[in-house]
Amino acid sequence: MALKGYPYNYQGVGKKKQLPLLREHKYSFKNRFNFQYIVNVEEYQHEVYIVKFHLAAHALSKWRYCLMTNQQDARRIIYTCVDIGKELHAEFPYASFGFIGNPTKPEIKKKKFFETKRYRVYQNFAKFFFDPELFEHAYNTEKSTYILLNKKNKERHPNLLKSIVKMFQDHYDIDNIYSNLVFELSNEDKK
Amino acid sequence: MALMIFLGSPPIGFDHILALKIIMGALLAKNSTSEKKLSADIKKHKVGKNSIKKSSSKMEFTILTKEEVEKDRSSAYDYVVKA
Repeated sequence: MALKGYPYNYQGVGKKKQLPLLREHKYSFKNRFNFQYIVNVEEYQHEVYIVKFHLAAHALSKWRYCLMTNQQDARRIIYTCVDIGKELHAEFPYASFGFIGNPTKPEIKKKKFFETKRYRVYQNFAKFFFDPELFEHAYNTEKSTYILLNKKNKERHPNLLKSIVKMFQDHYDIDNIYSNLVFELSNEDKK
Repeated sequence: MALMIFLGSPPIGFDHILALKIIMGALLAKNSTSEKKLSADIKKHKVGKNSIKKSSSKMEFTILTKEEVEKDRSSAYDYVVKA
């Protein structure tokens, strides 16, 4: 089987965001079941790109990054995200990448963000597609977070990983995301 | 006539400014109570806040060596290609 994603369209870049988030690039594609997907690539300081995707139909849901479609089509969808990442890398050779494997609803109750199913799957793709000669692979299992650190950029900034981790630690609180989701979950349970 | 005066205009000596202050004060107090409640809710559940905020927990990252990635790549093949 060819390792090929779906053809995708660049939808454009969002308006200027609050630092350290610089802007958001939007892509879309349709899968073989004609379901539309949205890929949001958040561009942060230090040339870090965080790739996120969700079903377009879930765009307004707070759970958009946690829901499963059960279409058994995850692999090609992830290939598409990898293709987008590779295109960005070709355009921005100093780009580093990262992702968070969001938990499913049952997972969040049991283990918060610890080594989620998505994280376990995504990290295989990261290792397979992103050459360790070009990227340093760093992970945090507790928060299901993975960073692909651009070695070329690290040569220019030896403390790059430290700076990136500090940036996310200061501005991107996973515990807060977790609390929001748990709050939503408790509201849903009440209904 | 007396009833009309009572309904149409306030009694003699009625302090409009004071009345306004009392009404505004009551409204502000009500708002402040709901704000306090909301901020308590936010503190408790961290509701409605943007995810961009200072984290209290430290994030430690483990770096994989090139050899470790290469080793994992062969097992990743099963997930990525074969599955």
